[in-house]
Amino acid sequence: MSKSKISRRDFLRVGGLAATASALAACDLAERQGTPTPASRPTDIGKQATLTATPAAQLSPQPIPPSSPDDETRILHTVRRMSFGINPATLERARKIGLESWFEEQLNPGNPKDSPENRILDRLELLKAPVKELIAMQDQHQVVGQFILSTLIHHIQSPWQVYEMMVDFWTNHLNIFLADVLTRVLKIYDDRDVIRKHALGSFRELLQASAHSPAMLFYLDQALSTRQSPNENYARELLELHTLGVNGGYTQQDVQETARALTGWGIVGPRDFFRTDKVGTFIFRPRLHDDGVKQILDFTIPAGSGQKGGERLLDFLASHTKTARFISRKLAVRFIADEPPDSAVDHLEQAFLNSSGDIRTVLRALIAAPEFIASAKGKLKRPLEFFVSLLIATQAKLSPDPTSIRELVNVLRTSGQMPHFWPAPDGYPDYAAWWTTSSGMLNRWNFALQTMHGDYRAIRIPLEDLMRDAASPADLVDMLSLQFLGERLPDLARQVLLDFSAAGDLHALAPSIAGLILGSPYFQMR
Amino acid sequence: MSNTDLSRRDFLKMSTLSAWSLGLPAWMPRLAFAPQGVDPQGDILTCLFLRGGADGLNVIIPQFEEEYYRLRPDIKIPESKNGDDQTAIDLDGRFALHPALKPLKDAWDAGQLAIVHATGSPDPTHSHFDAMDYMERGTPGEKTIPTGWIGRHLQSAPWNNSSPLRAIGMGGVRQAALRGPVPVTSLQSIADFHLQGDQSQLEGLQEALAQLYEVEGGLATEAKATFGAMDLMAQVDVNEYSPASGAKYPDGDFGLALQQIAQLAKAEVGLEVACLDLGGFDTHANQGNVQGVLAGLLAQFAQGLSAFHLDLMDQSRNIVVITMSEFGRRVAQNGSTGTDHGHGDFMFALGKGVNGGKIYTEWPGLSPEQLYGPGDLQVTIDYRDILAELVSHRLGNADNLESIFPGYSPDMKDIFSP
Repeated sequence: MSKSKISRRDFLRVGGLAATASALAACDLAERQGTPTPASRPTDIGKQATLTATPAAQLSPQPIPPSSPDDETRILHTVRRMSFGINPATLERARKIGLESWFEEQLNPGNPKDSPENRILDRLELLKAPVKELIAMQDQHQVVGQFILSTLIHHIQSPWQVYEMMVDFWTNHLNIFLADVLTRVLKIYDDRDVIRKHALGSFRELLQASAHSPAMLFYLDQALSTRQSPNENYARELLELHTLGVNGGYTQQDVQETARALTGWGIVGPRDFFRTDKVGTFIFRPRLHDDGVKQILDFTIPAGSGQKGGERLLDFLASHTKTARFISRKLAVRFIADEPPDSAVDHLEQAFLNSSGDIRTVLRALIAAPEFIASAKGKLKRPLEFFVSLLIATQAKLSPDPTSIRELVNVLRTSGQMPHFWPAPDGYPDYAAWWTTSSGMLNRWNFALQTMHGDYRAIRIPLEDLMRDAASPADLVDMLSLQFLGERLPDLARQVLLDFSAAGDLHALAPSIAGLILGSPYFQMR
Repeated sequence: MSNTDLSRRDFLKMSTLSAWSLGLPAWMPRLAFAPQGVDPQGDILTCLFLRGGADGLNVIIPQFEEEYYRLRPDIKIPESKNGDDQTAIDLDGRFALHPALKPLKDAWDAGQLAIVHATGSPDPTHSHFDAMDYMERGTPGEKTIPTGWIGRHLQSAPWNNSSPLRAIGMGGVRQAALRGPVPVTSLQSIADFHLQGDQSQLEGLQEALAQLYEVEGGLATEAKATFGAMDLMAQVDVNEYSPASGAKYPDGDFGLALQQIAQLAKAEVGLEVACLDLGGFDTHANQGNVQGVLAGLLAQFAQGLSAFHLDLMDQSRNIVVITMSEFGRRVAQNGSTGTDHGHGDFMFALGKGVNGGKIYTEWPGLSPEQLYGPGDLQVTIDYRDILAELVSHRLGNADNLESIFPGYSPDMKDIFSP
């Protein structure tokens, strides 16, 4: 198959993204809805986020221990840890219906077409265009900009926060860096058909979708792999990053055998451009496939297996105990601690194996695990979480004009965690030390202060609404703490803010007070 | 190594870090200090990575190679001719410089610029990411060690430097070579490295923020380091910076980044290593020759480095600059008057401690049987030979080469004077 002649020259110039917002010109991004409208069954799905309808009856939810003295704390911790961000409305929902019901609700997102989120996303025209058209576009920046914006809108506006966290998790696990023209276009489909479709479903199906994803196959050069000259890039990452993990016990030989097994897996390319409308879709080419016997670990692919051989290999990898361990550990790092206790990983691994990799089951086991319950405020928010949670907490209104969008993208880029721009297949690091450099800390403080100070034309905070009729510094500090953190500040910290407030007029100082709370260590932790 | 009269910098008073660690109240006036306990040895290293695979054959042209002219009809640089600045600049009768590199000729003539040719990583990958990854890790072919070569150098260095500005990644990023336990400050702009927001409340904000991080254990250390870095940056007067000796940095991000490194070096804030990048070298199409895409980049490169070199010439603490790229480019031009990913490439070493005015190479040749893989220049000098010598002779860390470049025995070329 001929490799597309698309130049990779500008892939290193990733700066200067200018998302179009002409589609959004007349639209004012509405506030995030606090109360979700769950679908009765997860079948009426909007266009943007399709989900597999896993029959909920098959796997009964793990019972979460009923009311305990720490109910309040536990609800706050669970909702905060499992969401991008919280505000009083989210917490209210969980308190009202109980933690268990809230979590079940979150695991079964509906997606009414006329939700505020979808109304905005619907206007990002480029994300609906066919592959052919997008590849041919002159100004690629618009495509990327709309895609990044769509990710942001989902994270900020969606009431299905657990789902959005899992989308982020799998996006990083199966990371695809938007390095070049073709990948940028294909990733839009990967986001929809692989990640968003399977984020709360079955790991096997997620893996299946990913292994057939043109974006993934192109990004990791699988599309170039032939019987004469197998390319090992995807094969290696499939074992090392997607399933077994670097300590999965495989050898270089296994990588090569995997590469052989996947020869012929490719994409309908530009040479076929004029022959078919299927450019950019998955195709298996038997003449490029090495159909001999292959041996990967203790799994044999008989000769003559064709494409099925690779499919069965995916079965083997998805159900391997090392995979269960690897994925479980990553989930524990994401949702419990940078260095999670082995007992927690064991627990999740069991849930994974017992349910044949059902993601919902593993998540239910996660939030019931004592290690999870005990881990409140133990994880640092990564920059994207900080950014999104700040906009959620402050009920920010985002402006849709092109300059403003560019501003938002710039802020994200400076933060070091622009979605889809980690330049390697392994996804953004998930430990605090990576993010707490001097510049990392300063960026957070400045984002908090500048947002509240109104320095970003893209972001308007309804501070007057948040302040309500706070008459005294104590009122204001407590009100804002509850709004942003879901609880009051500890006494010492509270006193620091009261001292600061004594400096002058409450109204004039309010933005700074808010900025200090958002920049404080209390808002950095999830 | 010896720079025997390396005078100890007599840093003022106490650092902000130790003030806190003594439990002094945060309302004490924050004096701007450089941290104590710094005992810098060796040159200040500036590591410049040319991203994209820089075309070494058009940077240092092998004028004695017929194949060069035959295989690059549209992108070749014309043979040097005296007085004609649209031709290559002869260096030693064999190799010549791309004319856009004219600003660096002075450093060459002064013996402070050394060039290594047909060098690079032995790993065959033509993937940008893998190649960069291997090169910055310092372990070609291996991705198991999570640190970078400079990170390991800083970690193993036998001296103490607790400055928050010890290692800097310019451009707001942390280059992979710097990865390691020693913290790195990523910097976009010195002028902006302070709290934003309501400037009239700045002092109160900073006090309150500092206290919030003190009363809460979690991120206290990181916050202190940040305030320390901010204090140090504040000492650097960004407004009216005049480069020494009439040096003129080129406009744009690259020039600005170099200028800021120079400022930090002069401000004696404990800077030891700065990394920066220049991108755009992936010239697959319409590369140009004497003029064009590559020429434009080389002009920036040369103007920037020559200004930097001149600006810091009279500092008592030496600077050493090293440049590298993840790979070179194919000998033959491609169908789009550009070049595809190659293998062997070049490195520049610039500074007073460099044995310059020389090309260091074991030239492999350009005839078909001498090429590597699909038609690339061979690598005959492993880039780690150069870096190991740099670390040993100029950075004062000769005893730790084995941990910095594990599994490799360097073969030093005498590029740097000890």
